[in-house]
Order: sequence, then C-alpha cells, then structure tokens
Amino acid sequence: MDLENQKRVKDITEKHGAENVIVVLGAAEAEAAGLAAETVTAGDPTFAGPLAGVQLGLRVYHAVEPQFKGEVDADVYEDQIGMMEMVLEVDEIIEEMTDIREEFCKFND
Amino acid sequence: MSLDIALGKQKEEVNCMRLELGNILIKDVQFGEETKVVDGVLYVNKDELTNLLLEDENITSVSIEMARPGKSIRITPVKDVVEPRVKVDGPGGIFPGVLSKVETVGTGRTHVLKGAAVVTTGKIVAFQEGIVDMTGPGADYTPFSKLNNVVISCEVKEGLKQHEHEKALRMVGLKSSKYLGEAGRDVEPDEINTYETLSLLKSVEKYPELPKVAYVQMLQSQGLMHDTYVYGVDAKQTLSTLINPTEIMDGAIISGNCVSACDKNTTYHHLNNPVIHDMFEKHGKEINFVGMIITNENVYLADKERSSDWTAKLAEYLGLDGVIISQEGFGNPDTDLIMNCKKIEDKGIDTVIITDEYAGRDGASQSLADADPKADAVVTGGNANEVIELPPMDKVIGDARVANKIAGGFDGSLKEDGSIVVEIQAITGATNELGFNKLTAKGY
Amino acid sequence: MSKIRIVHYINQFFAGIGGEEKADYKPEIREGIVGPGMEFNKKFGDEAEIVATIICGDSYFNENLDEAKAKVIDMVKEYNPDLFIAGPAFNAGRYGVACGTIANAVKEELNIPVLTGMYEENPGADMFKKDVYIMETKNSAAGMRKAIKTMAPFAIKLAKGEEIGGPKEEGYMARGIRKNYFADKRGSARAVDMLINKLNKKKFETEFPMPNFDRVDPNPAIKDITKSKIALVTSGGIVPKGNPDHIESSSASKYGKYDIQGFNDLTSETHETAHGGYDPVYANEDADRVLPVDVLRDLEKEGKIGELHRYFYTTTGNGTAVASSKAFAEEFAKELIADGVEAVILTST
Repeated sequence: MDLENQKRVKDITEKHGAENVIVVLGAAEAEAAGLAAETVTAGDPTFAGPLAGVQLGLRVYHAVEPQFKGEVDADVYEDQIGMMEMVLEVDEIIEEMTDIREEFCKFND
Repeated sequence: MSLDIALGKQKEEVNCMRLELGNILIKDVQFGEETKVVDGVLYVNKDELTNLLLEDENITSVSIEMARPGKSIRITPVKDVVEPRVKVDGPGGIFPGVLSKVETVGTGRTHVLKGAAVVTTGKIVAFQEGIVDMTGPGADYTPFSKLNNVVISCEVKEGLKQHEHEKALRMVGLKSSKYLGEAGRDVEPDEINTYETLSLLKSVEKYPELPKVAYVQMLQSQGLMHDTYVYGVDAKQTLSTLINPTEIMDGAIISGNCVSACDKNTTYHHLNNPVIHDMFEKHGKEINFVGMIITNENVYLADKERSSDWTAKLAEYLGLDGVIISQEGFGNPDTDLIMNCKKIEDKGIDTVIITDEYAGRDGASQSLADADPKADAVVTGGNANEVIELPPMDKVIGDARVANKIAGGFDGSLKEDGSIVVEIQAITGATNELGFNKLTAKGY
Repeated sequence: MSKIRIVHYINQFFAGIGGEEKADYKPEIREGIVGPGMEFNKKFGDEAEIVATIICGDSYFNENLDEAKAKVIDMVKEYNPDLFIAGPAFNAGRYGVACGTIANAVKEELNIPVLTGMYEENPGADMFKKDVYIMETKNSAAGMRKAIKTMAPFAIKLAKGEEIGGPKEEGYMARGIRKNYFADKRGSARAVDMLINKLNKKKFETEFPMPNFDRVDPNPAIKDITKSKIALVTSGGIVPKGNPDHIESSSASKYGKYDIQGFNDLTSETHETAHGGYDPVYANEDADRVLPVDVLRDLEKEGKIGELHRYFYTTTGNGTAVASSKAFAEEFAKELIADGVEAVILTST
C-alpha cells in the first residue's frame, strides 16, 4: 500500500478509533490484497511507510468477499464489480484475506 | 588330470585377468651390507645400488640418503617417487617395455614393499619439480611424508640435453625401485589382496543387475617434462585404448612428467592408482567395474578431438552406464577433460570427473579453464594456488634454492631462515587428481 | 559488553520520503532508526543497535558516484560504527547497485565489516557478491521481515568477527571463493560414491559447480535483407548532444531511445558519447564511428537494406551489470518487434 494511503488510514484510525474503521480493498490479486491487508493490521511489511511497525489491527475486507458483497445493494454490486468478479481469483483472495484477519485483526467478528 | 578338466581350467583363465598383490609392510629403511628385507626393515647396500646406477654413463655421481616419517627433512626438487615392486609369478616383469620386456603384465602375483619408496631428486631439470617435507604443516599435503624414503640424488654429465637429463633421472628411479623390489621376492607378504577383471561379456553375465562402469584415465602427454609412458610407448603417440586395471599395478604406466608438482602423477601414484582400488572395493557389490580406458592430453586440437572422440566411442561400445574420468595437469588439459566429459555424457553415460583447481591465491578466480553444464559431478583435489608457509627443516636433501624457481614459488619464496612461503602447487602430490588425498575445496 | 553500533543506509523510498520522483534526494543522516531499521533493532535485541541512518536517493547516488560515496563515508565516519548495513534492496536495480557500491566503499575506506541484501537477479548482486556479503532476499519488499530475520544475526556474527560458514548455511550469496579443507574420505572414494548416487538417480552434491557462461545462440540469417527494417542498438553510449537523460558513463542504470528521423549523418553538433570506458575524442567528433547512421543511410538509398528504423537504443556498456543489460533489452526488444524491426546491428566498444 502506497505511502499516501497508509497515511490516510493512519489518520482516520487515530481520529475515529480502530473499532470504528473498516478498510475495503480492490486489489487485483490475492498476494497484493494480502500485503495491503497486512499493512493495515500488522503494519507495513516493507517498513517503508507511515504504518511501519504500527499495528492497527483493523477490520479489512476485499470487495469480492461475501462479508462486503452481502452488505451492499446487489444491483450496484453487479454494475460496479460484477465484471471484475469474473476475472479475479475470488477463492484465493478470500483465503488470503481470511488468513491475514485471523492472524492480525484485533476484532473477532 | 583329464584333458577335459585341463581345457576347462584354461578356458576360465583366458577369460579373466587376476593379480595377487602381496604387501610386505615396511616400517623402516636402513643401510646394510646386503639389500634385503628382514622383519619389516628394508636394508640397502648403498655401494651396490650406486654402482648399478653409475652404469649409465650419463650419471656422474650418485648420493643416497634416507628420509623417514616425522624427521625434520625437506626433499626438493622431487623428480619422481616410485614404489619397489617385484613380479614373483605370472608373465612379464615390473615396468614392462621400460625395464622389463614388453610382455603383458597384470596377472600372477606381485610383491610390494609397502611403506617404502624411492624418491629421485637432483639438479633442477626444469622449473616444475616439488617439495616433500617429512614433518610440519607441509607433511599434511603430501602422501610421501608418511613413507620410508630412499632418496637418490644424481649429478649428470656436463652439457647433457634436457631430454636426456630427464630420461636419465627417470631411469634412476625405476631401476632403483626394481633393484630394491627384488629384496621382497622371497618374503612372505603380510597381506595379499586379489584383483580380478573378467572379460566384458563374462563380467556382464556374472553381474547382470549391476551398472557397468569403467575408469577413464587421462595421461599427461604434452612434451618434455609432461610425458607419460605406457609399456614404454610415449603417450603422445597413442590412440585412446583399453587396458586392464591390474596391468597398472605392475607398472604398465610410468611417469615422465612433473607438470606442477601438486597434480603430477608420480610413478608411485600410477602403481597405487586409488580410483582403481576404490572401484574394485565396490565391484560386484554396487557396480560392475568392467575395465579401464586410457587416453592422452596432446596439445594439438586435432589430437584432442580425435582422442576424446575415440574415448567416447569406446565407452559407448562397451555399453557403459557410467565412468569416472581423472585428469592430469591443468590449464590446457582442462579442455581435454571437458571434451571427454561432454562427449561421454552425450552418449547417455553418466560421468564423474576428478580434477583440481587454480582459483588464485584468494580463491576467487575461475578454477578451470573450460567448463560445461554437463560436468555436473565433480570431485576436486583442492585449490593449488593456496599459499602455505613451510618452516625451516634441519636437513635439506637436494637444493632448497629451487623454491624460488619452481612452479608455485616466487622470488623471495625461500627466506633466510630456511622457511618457504609457497603455493601448495609446489608440494609433490598435494592436489592429486587421481583422488589420492583427502584435500578438497568448497565454495564460500 | 556494550552494544554493537551500526550505521544503516537506505534509499528515499524506505525512508518514507517518496518514490521515483524523489530519487534525486541528497544524502542525509538522521540519528537512530528510520523505516526498516525498526525491525533490525527489534531483531538485534540487546546485542546491537542502529545508531544512525543515512538516506540517499538512488538517482543521486548513481549519477554522482564520487561525491555521493565521499559524502556518505564522511557521515559514517562521524558515528564510528562497528558495522555498516545497506538496504536490503530486493530487486530494485539502482538501489541494489547503490547498496553494493557504498557497502564496498565503506569496507575499503573504513575497514569495518559490511552487509547488504538483495534478490539474486538484482544487477548489484553479480557486481558485488565477490566483494561484500550479500544476503539473499525475496524479489520484493514484502520479504522485508524475512530478510531482516537472516541479516540481523549474520550482521552480529560479522561484527563479532566470528567464523563465517558456507553460503547455504548462512544465507548469503555464494561469492565464488574457493577454500581448501581435508575431507573424511580420499577423492577417489568420494568419486565412486558420487557415481553410484548419480547412476541410481540419487541426490549428490558436486564439489565444484560449473561457472555459468550464458551463451546466446544466433538467430537464422535474414532471407532478404533488401526488404528488411534494420535498427541500430549500441552499448557504446552514443546519445544526443548534452546527454539529456543523463545516461551514466559507467554502470548504466538506464538506456535511451532516440529519434534519428531526418538524420543522415551524426556530427559533433548533434551527438556525443556518454561512455566513460574509452577515449571519447573520436566518437565525439563523429558519433557515426560508433553508431553508423551515415553508412546505413547510404545502404538505404542504394536499396541494399529495406529501411533504417527511426529510433535507436543506447546505453553504456562500461561496467554495466549483465543483469541490467538483460533487463534493458528485454524491455526494448518488445518495442523493436512491435515496430516491425527484423534485425538489429549491435555495436559495442
């Protein structure tokens, strides 16, 4: 996750509290999604950005995950994400995201 | 004995070459009134041996001294090391084609004065002979520090050409060994090992399940100080051919070279070729050691191509599954080594090659002058350029000043106090490519 | 026992200053840790600590080698550390070259142990693995934690002067240095064992891995060259006058693509050489000597070739890593093919 976005996530979390923040990702691959997810939970694994060594433990989901899909309007989802959903490795992404959350997320819901 | 049985026995004998090697363990050498072996001590009649050697009119003076293991003695320059052996039964004699007639050897029984050796030294012939320290750090790098050495130094006639000088010294070593070997003729050996090679088809018939392997020995053949002789024939003049492992044990191959001392095969190395011994160890158990191919290392490209093609052709013809290839020397013959390896691998035969390295004093340079990804199984005798400091010895047999001139030495190698800073290249047998030693190298 | 003092060198990205746009960042030193230094200190525990971090942009470093080296070394001197760590650089080419260069320079000038880390294909690896210890890392910064996990204890070993084991066990890139030792068995026995394993398709380890010569097989000849589009590519460093893209005189970190449409001849007014490895006088007088545009225009007119491609590609071959050259060519070869070029005349010096 680039430095700009890391800063934004950090600032927002500081302002509103970790329990009130959810991060939604749109990465194209499981690995990239995993890295971003790790960044907002365990800290920037590359140690290059503001979240280096900062463990926010936030709730984080990818747009194709059921936890997000289930919460939004089905038509809007189909419209905006339907196409991408067909090309992405959805299962892999879900697996990667779940692993990260299990290991690093502060919240167990 | 009935005719049938007589014929049957004959048939068995013609399909196999069997040699009994009887080791007479020598634990000391001394001068004595008679040349003989008694209770493991080799006594040498100095005058008799001296006179024998002076029969060659090119030799003007001879001096003989003993160098025993652990003593503070340095021998340099070392021309050749030879092991005294004598043929007690079977056709032919030791060093066929050179000191004995050309009859095929390798069968019957041969006695060995094990633990003794003849070391020839003398006024420097070229700049490539070596050092043997009988004690100290240098002793770890040469197998000859562990032997009871009869060291022979010779002066030759004024104006003798280099070729003849080399030959004269070569013959001194061989003659002396033969002479001393005779002392073992009627002595009962302490141990007897039997080595047997069946004819190819019989061998395969006997061990149908075992992989067929052969030993490919490369012989140095690059000219003066770089030659090898097979039954007296200059290896430069040979085509790759088959030979029986036991023939080597009777001196079929002798050294006329001193490449760099570290990877030169002395006649002692040939007689005790460790690849042959270790192949026999596993013969009939994990491998079928069917035989041996010898090939040369000439300097001309056409010869290199011809010899390596021929070697690969023979390997294929024998239906081999695998070979061990040993090299002699470095630099120029690295090309022959890789040619042999590649061509044999291309025939679908597995190879393991034994070589040594010249990776520079810091070990960072490329070890071999040629390479190929097919040479994926290499055994190394170590980096010959590694530097060692040899402490001064109480006695020097030969001439220590040569340290400044021999390969591996440099101006200033020899220090005032008698110590020598030199590459292990200068130590006789240090990085031997028959795999004689435990020295090896690894990468960091 | 006091803690081992370490100075750490990183680039602008890992310092959180910015990406490519900030690659010209001049050397700056800060007390304590910055960025990845955090994880290093964590792994060092009580034994060592990073006392200062030097930050330098990759472009600045590579384009101002002498000044950058001198400046950084002065900064390191200030802190009088026991050890110097650069990177790790993973697969970032210019960063890797900078890390290798500065680590080597510190080692030579200050005579302290140095350590860096990179991915095996990083051009800096081939260039410096003989001179400095380079820890093997993954190919992206995502492997930071793992890299530091191996680098930290190794750094402590180096600082303490402990005996260093072989590359496989310690995790650094094989430096190609051979050292002798005495094995348990003699060579012939090892050879027989090796052969038996090889014959039985069992694992064995060669005592000397063959060097990699990496030859390129030539393509088949062009059928009809009078119809072909030919392009010029050079490692002789020919660039438009003024070297607008600052291609380095040695150890190039980039290549250039320049338009020669309308040029029948290169002159001292229009072109020059950036290459620092040969006497530039003659190439500067007439760049055609290295990039033969004039001759090819003649051949074009005479109908001997189909066409001279409008773009040429150039870089400096001097000291440039094989891996870099490979990477450049992989990139622009695609463009050449897309542009319908059939053959390339590659000039070098």
